[in-house]
Amino acid sequence: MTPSIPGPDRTGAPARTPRNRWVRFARRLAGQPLAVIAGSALLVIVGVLIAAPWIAPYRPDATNLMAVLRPPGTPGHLLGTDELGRDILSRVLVGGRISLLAALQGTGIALLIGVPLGLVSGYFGGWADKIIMFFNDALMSFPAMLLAMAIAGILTPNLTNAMIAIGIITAPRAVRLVRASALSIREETYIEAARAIGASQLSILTRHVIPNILPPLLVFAMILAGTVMLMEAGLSFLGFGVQAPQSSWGAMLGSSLGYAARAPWLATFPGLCIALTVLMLNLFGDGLRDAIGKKVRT
Amino acid sequence: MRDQSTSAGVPSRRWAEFFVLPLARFLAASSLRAVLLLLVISLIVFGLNRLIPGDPALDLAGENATPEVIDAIRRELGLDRPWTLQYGTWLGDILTGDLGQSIMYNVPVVDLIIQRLPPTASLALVAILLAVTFGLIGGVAAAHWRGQWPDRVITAISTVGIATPHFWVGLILILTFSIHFNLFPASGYKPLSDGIGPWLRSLLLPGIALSFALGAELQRQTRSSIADVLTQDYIRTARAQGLSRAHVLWVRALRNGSGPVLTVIGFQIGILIGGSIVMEKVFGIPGLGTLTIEAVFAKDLPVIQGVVLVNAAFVVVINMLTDLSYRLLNPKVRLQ
Repeated sequence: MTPSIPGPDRTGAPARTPRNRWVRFARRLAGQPLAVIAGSALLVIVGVLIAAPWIAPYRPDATNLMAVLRPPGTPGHLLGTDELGRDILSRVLVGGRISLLAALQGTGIALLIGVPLGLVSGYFGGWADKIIMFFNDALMSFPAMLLAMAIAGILTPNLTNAMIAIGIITAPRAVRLVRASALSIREETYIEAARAIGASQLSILTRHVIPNILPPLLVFAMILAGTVMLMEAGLSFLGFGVQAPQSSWGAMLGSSLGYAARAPWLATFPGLCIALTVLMLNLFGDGLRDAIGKKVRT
Repeated sequence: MRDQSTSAGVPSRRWAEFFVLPLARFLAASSLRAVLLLLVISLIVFGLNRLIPGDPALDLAGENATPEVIDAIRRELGLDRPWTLQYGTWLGDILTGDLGQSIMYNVPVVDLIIQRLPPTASLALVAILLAVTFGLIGGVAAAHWRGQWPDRVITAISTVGIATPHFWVGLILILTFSIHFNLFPASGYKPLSDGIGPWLRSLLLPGIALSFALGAELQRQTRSSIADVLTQDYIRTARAQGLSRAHVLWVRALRNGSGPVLTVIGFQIGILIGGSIVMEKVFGIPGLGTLTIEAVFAKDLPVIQGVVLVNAAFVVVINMLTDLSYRLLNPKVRLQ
């Protein structure tokens, strides 16, 4: 009995593992159907939302008082109309663009604050680590939604302030992740070797530590974007995020509250869009984590 | 006699050495840490003052006020003093239980918080009970049928549960069970003094919606923990002894694999508080969440600071108790 030969090669030669780690990563990702479906769905969602102003059948704020609260399937209004006769499909498309931008903005702010602090804390350690982590733990003790609401509300309620608030509140999670990654990387042999040949701290950080933190950070960013999208929806739902005439999926849900009995479709479509987008972000994030490999995963 | 006293003395000395002393050390260290954390938290909450755009004294004095009037208001509010002194006075007041006076209601903030606490606490309690029920049953079932269709269905429900905005779930529940089937009230809160039935009826829909994310997280953790326990030798031994499959699963495995439940609840409590704010708005529940929304819209800073501070302090205490319970329940951690 001959031992089984791994890989699709039938000539008897063992299958070669690609040297480039990005190729290995892409192959592992392609081997996960759920992640591929989620990634493709995300691409479609992002593409449609970017093209929203051009593909929306009406302007999102165009009112028509002759056609208020029309149900889905009404000719000319596939998803119906709202209390001012505005087309729901157009508002879902353009509002989704704002939700997506808000998710990017909030995630970006969290990473901008969290990555440098996490690097300093994890790589350099010492008192800086102790102080940063203490403030980090204090910030993590606040119920995130409550503090975000307080900050966004005390500043003037608008989308930018809401995203600054969410970015500040979620930054401690980025600090924790980057710190943990930097802590393990700084003990690696190649870092010791770089130090031994006299490489500067800055060079070690930029050439070795940061590139190795990127994969888990990418996974984290995907999942954080979903969390930020849910928080933005919550803040806009309460009136502390997007302000009229602009709208996001969360704000659309907020304005649907008074019409829940008469026009349930006002709440149905924006909610479905949020759930679907966050679900795809989470599934793709999970797939990325598994594709990155065992070492990072643990 | 001497032998008896020795044999009685050794275990008690060991008890002190291995249980009481480490526990006392842990309690002292975690209490000190909690106090320091609360100090930093109070500093951040006090810092919310500084976020208000413009000059509060100018806002209170009105547009036509003279500089003397504005100065007088500034002195009265203590705004002419350095911030460190302002913080010291504010902290001193808080330590004596004075969270200030609400601007919109003109009553002490502490009284407002005490008055609005029962609906929020009731909602959180119902949500936690529902989440634990789903989390444990779903987690054990998924671990038992690991890789089979029940596992896939339950895991899919959890994955969707984590991604779905709970306030939207609340809206859908209102549309279905309140408006369509007329089974539950669409809004309002009935206190426990009106009877357990009306109380539960007013909280069941918001409780289900709020329990979604926590239940999903608990289910994931329980599944992973029970799946690990089911591979252990003592489970195989229990099966070999002839114990029923249900007993092994729901008694032996669950007892040893339910460790993450407390930890998850402890760490998710902040999310639950945040979630209850939005849920109170959806279901018109007059709790702390509704109070906070009103206060933020009215820029009633003492109420905002009071609610944020009390909630953060609550999370710190819950996290400390979670750590403590984890230590008490887990012999490996206890002996470290």
